[in-house]
Amino acid sequence: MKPESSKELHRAAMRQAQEAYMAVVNGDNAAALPLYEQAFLLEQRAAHHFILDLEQEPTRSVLFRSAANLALKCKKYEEAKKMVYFGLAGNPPKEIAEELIEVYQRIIQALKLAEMPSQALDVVHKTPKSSYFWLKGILKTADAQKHKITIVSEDNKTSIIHVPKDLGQIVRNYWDENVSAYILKQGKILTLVEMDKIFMQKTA
Amino acid sequence: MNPQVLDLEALKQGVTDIIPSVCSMMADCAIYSFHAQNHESGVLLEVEVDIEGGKKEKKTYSVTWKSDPSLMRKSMNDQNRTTDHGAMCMAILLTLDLTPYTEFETSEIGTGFDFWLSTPNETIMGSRLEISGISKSSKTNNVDYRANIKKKQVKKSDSLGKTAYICIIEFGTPKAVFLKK
Repeated sequence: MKPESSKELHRAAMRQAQEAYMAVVNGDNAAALPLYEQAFLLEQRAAHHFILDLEQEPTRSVLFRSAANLALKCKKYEEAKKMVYFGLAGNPPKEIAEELIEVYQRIIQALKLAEMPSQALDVVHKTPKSSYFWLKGILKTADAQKHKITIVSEDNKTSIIHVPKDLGQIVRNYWDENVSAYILKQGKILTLVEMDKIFMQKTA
Repeated sequence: MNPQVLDLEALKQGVTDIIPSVCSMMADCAIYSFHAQNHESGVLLEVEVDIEGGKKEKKTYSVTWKSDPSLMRKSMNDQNRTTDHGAMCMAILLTLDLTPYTEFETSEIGTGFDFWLSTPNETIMGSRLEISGISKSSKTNNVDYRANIKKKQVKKSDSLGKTAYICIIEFGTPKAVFLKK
């Protein structure tokens, strides 16, 4: 029998999400994608149980936030946005509301990335003295003392990037991963603005 | 009196709402974190418990395992991740011993999971569990310092209207704090 109560649906969703998480930990990002998709569909159903029940907080907004994160992970960006809207449309506690907005910002960033050409260096914004661009590659080395990381792009070009803050967290989350980094270039100096992981399909 | 035993292998069977493979990974991370600090199975963990309205008490546990941590080195290269997951393992075992909660609800937060506690009678999202791990304490990074940071973070969560438990684990000494906010 299929689980139908919100609690059972949420639990089933989280089991799928944990399986996906283990796939990522084991380096199998391709296996993680369909698991995240199944998790999203279940969490979406769990959240919809509370769609008109605005007093069930923080459960309601936590479920919509969770569903939005899962939709983002399986690249269902429009669905992810809807989950954020539903979450914010209730009475979310301040902290969860802030987290929903943070998810929305990541969705917009992911949408920008998805629409971009695949060149390793793609200048998207320029001012007279500086430029911003997205750099795609693998995070390979880090120097905690100098606050620098190295990203090696598909064409084997190595870029040394200054990381002004959160180096430890960046290394912890993205070490040896395919990443997309938003870079500020001032003269020859590259500074990291933000970074996100790219899920890569495994090729045979 | 013999100290109470916390068996890390027991977690590998899974707990309510966390699948066995995740529990197993967390348990192995805890085992490796103790091993990396030159501790062996049976090491005594002193826990400062503050969950009864400011009435602090100290409990000592004997932490045991059977797995051979020397075989785990290759999969434990990421020390921060190992410490974080090891701390999650210890926090779950301490929660089961120190609180009435037996169910560990998770929700997705982008980089991992948010931990919520509930009992079989509650709907979901009963209390929040905040966890932090330290491999080896220093003057500027110890359980008290981390506990204060977590208390401030949890204060921001007051709008949630839920009880928050904070658990900080340090594998070097080893010691821990477990408190209710």
